[in-house]
Amino acid sequence: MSTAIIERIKKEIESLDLNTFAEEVGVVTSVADGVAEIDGLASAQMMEMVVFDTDKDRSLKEALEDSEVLYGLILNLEEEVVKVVILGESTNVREGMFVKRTEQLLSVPVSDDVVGRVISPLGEPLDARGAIKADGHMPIERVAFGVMDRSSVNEPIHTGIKAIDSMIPIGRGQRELIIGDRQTGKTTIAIDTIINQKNEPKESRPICIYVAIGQKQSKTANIVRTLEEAGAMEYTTVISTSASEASPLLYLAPFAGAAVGEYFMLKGKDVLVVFDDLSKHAVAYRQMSLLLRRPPGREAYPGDIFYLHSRLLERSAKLSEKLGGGSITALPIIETQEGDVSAYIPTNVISITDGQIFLEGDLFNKGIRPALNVGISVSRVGSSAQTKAMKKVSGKIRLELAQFRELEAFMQFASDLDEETKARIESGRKFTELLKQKQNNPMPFYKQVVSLYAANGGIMDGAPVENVRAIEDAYLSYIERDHKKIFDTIESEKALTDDLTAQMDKAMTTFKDSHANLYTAK
Amino acid sequence: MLAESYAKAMYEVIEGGVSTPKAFERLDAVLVRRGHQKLKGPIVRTLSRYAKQKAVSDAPVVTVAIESSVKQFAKEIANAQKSFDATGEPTVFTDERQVGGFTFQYKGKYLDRSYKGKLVKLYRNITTSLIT
Repeated sequence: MSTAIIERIKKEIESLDLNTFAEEVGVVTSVADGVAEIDGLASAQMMEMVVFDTDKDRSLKEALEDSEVLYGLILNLEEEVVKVVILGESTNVREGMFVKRTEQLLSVPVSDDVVGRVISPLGEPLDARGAIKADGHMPIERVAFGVMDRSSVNEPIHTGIKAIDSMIPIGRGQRELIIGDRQTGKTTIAIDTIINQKNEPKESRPICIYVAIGQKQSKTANIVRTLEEAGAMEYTTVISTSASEASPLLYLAPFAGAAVGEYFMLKGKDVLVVFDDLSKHAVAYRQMSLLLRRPPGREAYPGDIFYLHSRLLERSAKLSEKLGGGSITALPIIETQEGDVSAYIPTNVISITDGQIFLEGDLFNKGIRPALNVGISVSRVGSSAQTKAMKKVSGKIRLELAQFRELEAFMQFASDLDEETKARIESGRKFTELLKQKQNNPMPFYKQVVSLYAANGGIMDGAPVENVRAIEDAYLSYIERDHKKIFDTIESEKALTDDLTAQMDKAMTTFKDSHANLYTAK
Repeated sequence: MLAESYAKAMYEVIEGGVSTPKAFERLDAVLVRRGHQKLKGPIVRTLSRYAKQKAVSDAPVVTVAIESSVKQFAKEIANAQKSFDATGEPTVFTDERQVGGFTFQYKGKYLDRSYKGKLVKLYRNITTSLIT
């Protein structure tokens, strides 16, 4: 053993205060399904952490060998008993066991070191990369910031997905729901958004928090690997709970995500939190509530299920300059069944959030990815946060796609179409093709602006639909190579000047002349 | 659930002054009338648990590793009893797993002055500080 370690142990022994004080204890009277009933603890508080005294019935050797502390969370204060959910292995809890108060509300240890790590909702590391030194603790539950502490959403958070950044822009501090059936690309949008933050300047790059609620461990492992490969883990924290974990941990996960987010927000930083997904969170809360014998309501969910999600999502905010100007942007995910957005939990969360990105299975199967239904997707506050450059180029797209959708439906019945209609349909198809994007391939905002400006300016005119993406790729490479200044100016100015549009028009004409092969069918 | 309710009611009846044999006689009659005879076993078990809990919570309890420790820590135990406002002679249990020292328990309050408790605390502090 090195001398330094011996010295530290010596110091620890010398400074340790072994004077113990009287503690308030209760006795476990029953344990079932992860819930323990405690007799005693008369002065306990709601949401207080308690410690199960697993050492009492063990020998010294056994206690040292298994030194894991087993925590519980008080969730019901009843007339005669206290009901505690066990945050760990409930098989270690036995009748007659002592339970000690900690006099602390449940909180999560936080520090800058959590960035780049995979942690549990209790802040314990799960990535085998050693302990995380905590700077402090943030309460899992806290009242959201009030009206006077907030400022309006005025800065965009770019997802790197053209269809979203142009038509459903998201602002820093906004809550934008991602909703859709299983296997429609909900998580992909969230992960792409995290990856895209790499394209943001380091000083304004948000800290990203991905909260996996009851996900398969293989899925979370894949996500972590994807983020690592994309270099996105350096600004991301993953809070993971798997499907095999006890429902109280699943219930706590998004609140822990919000608590970690608040730590950074209060330091004046921007934070992006993805809750994947709140449907599983609602199910976990229902299970826990039923075990706590709280009365069931609609679909057996407890009466406070709306309050559960509203108080969670209300914690995302854009703080005023006085409070540092930090923000939490929330991207909650909801999984629908057979596209039913009118079910209980989806309607709840739709009404809480500031807009929704609706993904459709049919579009996904048609190869339109992201499978965004532009018609019912909306962002209620994001447009005020959109950059001038994006605003200028995105106006036409929504209209173009809306007209295309109408005509597409009509087209199924009409056999003979006039030239104008044909042209509109052709244009709509091209725009649809242009908005398709590969997985884990977000596009920086300045490239999106150039691409959409070119599309509006007619770069796709005369080209077959199947060449649209090739034209886009070639055009962006051409600009990168020969007109890099255009990208640089849009990135720094975030607006389109007359000079810039003239440069782009010129570049477009030259490109069309030099890439004639892309405008003929293969 | 139902057995627990019966047990609670029985406990309160006995606490209220009705003698135990009489209370059980009446319980039998009620159970027969309501067709709940099968619940008698669980009721008795729950009731005995209540009684045990009450016995423990009403009297101060001292646990030591070896019986002779009571004398050794007599002064500290007396101090603990005073600070807990505990009245009555403490019930003494021995548990050699405590290694040494004593624990004192009275009405939902617990004082751990056992050597085992101190050693576990020391071990956890050292291992936690070395990891971080």
